[in-house]
Amino acid sequence: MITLIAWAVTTAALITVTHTVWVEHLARPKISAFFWFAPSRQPRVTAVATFATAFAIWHLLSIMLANPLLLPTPAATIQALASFPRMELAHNALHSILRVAVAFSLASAVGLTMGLAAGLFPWIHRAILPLNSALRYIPPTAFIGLTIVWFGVDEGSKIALIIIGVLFYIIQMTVDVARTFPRPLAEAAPNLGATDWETFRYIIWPYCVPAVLSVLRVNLGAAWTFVVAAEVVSAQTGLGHMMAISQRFLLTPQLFALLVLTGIIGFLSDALFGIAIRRTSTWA
Amino acid sequence: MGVTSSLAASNLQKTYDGSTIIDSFTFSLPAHQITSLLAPSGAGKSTLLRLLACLDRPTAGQITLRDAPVTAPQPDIILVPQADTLFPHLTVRDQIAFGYRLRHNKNRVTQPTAYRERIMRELGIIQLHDRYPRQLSGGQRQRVSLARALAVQPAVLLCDEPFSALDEAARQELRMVVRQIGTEFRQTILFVTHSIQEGAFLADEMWVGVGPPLQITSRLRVPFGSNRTEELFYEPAFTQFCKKFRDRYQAEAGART
Repeated sequence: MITLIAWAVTTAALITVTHTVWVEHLARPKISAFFWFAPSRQPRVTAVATFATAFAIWHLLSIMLANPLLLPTPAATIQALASFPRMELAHNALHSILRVAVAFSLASAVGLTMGLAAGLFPWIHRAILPLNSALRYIPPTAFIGLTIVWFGVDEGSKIALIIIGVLFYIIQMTVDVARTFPRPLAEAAPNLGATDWETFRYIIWPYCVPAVLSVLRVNLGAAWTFVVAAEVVSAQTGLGHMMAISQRFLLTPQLFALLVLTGIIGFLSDALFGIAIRRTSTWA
Repeated sequence: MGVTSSLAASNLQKTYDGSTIIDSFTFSLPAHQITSLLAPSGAGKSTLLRLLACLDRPTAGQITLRDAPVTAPQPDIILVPQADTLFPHLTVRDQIAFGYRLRHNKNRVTQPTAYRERIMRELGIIQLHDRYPRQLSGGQRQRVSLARALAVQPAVLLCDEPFSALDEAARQELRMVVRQIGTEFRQTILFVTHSIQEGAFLADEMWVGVGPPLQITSRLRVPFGSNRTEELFYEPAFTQFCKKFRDRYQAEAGART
């Protein structure tokens, strides 16, 4: 029955995509076929349909492979998720969330301050950007062992790894945001009597907030990558720790269940950022 | 000639990359009237206005307002440039209140003051008070720019070709508005333009500039009184005056360029 539904959803998705491409991009004369900026007519329906299609394809692939060790079905994954003791799952998820929250807050505070300063003051830009660019290209996972040596096996090493993983990207991306601020606006504010601080507080910062939130939104996803990496290597708690155990005992459905749970947490935090961006950019 | 203004410059000099745009420039702006400045492209008009508004530092010389040196941007000398400088995240009401709030150290002003309300009404933007800049036309944006500048009650308003990007209908509307502001608020305005008709319609006095380095070579009093209507454009005397000015402009500016 599930397989039949999966086939139906996949076929419907294929027909819908073909029809949309034809109607939106081929049949209708327009300036450019790559007109991606037009608002979708039914964004929520499209999103739900995409999720349904992804699950349908996953189901069909798992049925074809017929090996739950390689790829469990979505149903088996949901069963595995339900099989975890709830308190244990919540306890571990909360640990991961707290690690990300603390590390990401610290990285954001430092990264935004340095990024805005470098974006607005050329001498700071010249001083820190070359070093930041070099550090950005060093793979953060190479620091896993070092962070344990430096900060011990407890929370310090995990928080340090997340900070190393996202800080240099937040700095660079915030610099790029600050440098898009139009110079004539920066001149208009002092001309109307604003001090440097007032120009920043009332003009530059509100102008940059939506783009800064987008920077944080992207980097929060990266923060989850690094918390799982740190927990897989050395932790007694956290979703990464549970994933490591699942891998060790080849409990693929459980591993998939944890991946899906991480995806759900990511989706929710991303949605919160989306709301914040919409609220701070009503003017755009 | 108008009353000697409180805005003056003495021996002003500005050099960019070895070329002198303004050199030994000394002037005093007539108070409570509109002065238009016409000069060829690249003569240094915009540079002069930026120096007067303290958005650029002069290489040498001094700018004074009411005999006090001016060394930093301040709301007493406001520049309305050609480029759009409305703050995109502020509504029309907040744009106009921005300078006022800073000046009066207030964070929230819920009702427009009578003065600001009058300015918004005079400029025909009171019904747009809750719109963001992206929701305004080019002409409406320039009206808001002017209103924002006037709201801080500047001693001098410097206009650097503010209507050049607008269509003719919008330009004509805004010429009327600026003329009205000059008359009703007795506002001192230095208006840079490329259009002789625009300069003659707006100004009480027209200046011919040549350069670089920028120099004022002629000053002509505009003899059409304070209250002017669009009909002035079609009067023979106005056409005659514009022709006379054009001849002088071509003789002086043309000889230098």
